[in-house]
Amino acid sequence: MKDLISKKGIIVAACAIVIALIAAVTMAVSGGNADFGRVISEPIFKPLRSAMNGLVGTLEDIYGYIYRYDTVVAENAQLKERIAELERDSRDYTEIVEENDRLRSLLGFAMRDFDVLPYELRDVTIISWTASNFSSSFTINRGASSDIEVGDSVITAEGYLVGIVTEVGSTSSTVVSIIDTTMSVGAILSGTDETGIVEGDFNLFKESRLKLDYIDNAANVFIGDSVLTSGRGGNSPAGLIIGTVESIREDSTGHGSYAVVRPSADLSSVANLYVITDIKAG
Amino acid sequence: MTESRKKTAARILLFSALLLLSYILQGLILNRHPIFGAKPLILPFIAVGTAVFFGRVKGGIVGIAAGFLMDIAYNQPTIMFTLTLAFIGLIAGYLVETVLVKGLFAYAVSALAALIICFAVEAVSYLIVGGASASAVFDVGLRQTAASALFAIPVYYIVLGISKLV
Repeated sequence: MKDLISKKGIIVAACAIVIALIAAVTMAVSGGNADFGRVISEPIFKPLRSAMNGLVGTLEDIYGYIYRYDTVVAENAQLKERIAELERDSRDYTEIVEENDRLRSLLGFAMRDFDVLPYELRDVTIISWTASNFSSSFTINRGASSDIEVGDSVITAEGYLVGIVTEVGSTSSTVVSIIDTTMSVGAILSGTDETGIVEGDFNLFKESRLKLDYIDNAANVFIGDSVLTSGRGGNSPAGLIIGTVESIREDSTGHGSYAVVRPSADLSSVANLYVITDIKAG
Repeated sequence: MTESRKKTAARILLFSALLLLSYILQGLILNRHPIFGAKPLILPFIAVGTAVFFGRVKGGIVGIAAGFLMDIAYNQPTIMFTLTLAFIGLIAGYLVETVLVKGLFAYAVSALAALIICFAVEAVSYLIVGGASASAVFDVGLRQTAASALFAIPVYYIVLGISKLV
């Protein structure tokens, strides 16, 4: 035992404890801002992460082009069809908006601008995903210098909720994804307005699924229901699309049930995202 | 510069390069391309290998650096693995100096123990507080250990090579 406790060994152990303590203290007092480890490593690792992300992405694209050419061609054809469909919907939408404006003008109502989003968005890209097998989080390329704050919601271009900002550095931030076990957001079911809480669950983590729990009346939950954020109990605005109810299961106690939700955002392929930095009033 | 200082400088350079490459592989490449459905751990093997060939003190120091990089790769504050790998390096070095004979067997035993400890450190909160089922947690742990084991031998020979070179 005496051999184990050598002077140099004690110094090394003490250094490790001091580093951990400094990180813990800076984390506790920073209110969500990056701890000292992140602060000192960010200038070195952020460019490295961005560079590796770009390189790996390029290699994946080359691999995809060489070995998945047929799949890519089929996907391209599907996307072209979808674009044509969306263009038709967009023309219909424009006609409806113009008609709405004419009618509002006739009735003396104030004009509404449908092109104005109810929130301020900041475009971001993912520069790296966590290396942990027990959690799901990623780093984005913007931080406090871009007005990003802890608790901001991160969405795709389609408005699908992807995660919540949990740590903010000066030029990068950590986002916990919706399937992470620490994730919890107020939810509402479209159609029935049944409310509950969508949370990450480790037993569903491997399947990349979420748990919809604390539902008042499980009889009002149906497979295929869309699950949206309710806007309660957090910073997420109401109306963000979380996912779709995939199945209803009995909980382990046997006294209640919960819904399994398939996220609308495909976490394996998201890259360009938006952070909701401000919610406009009205 | 004296010969021993040159050797020390060369060792620092080589281990820094090894740690950086391991971080890139573990934290930036294999995190996107899991093996057996799990992201492998490589950085703990650097701490263990250093402890086996260079002793507990250097094992502890490299453990601090490897743990620091692992916490960065995990998007978490530099606490959990900075402490864990530092102590793994110290204890592995002590075991090799007292009980185990320096070599592949000592490294293999220490590496397996390191993987189990790293798994336990992460898993305990999910089992006790998170309400996760034991089968789900151990399934992840098993796949993580199997994926990581693929890198144990290459790291052993790299660290062995460094020990013979400098």
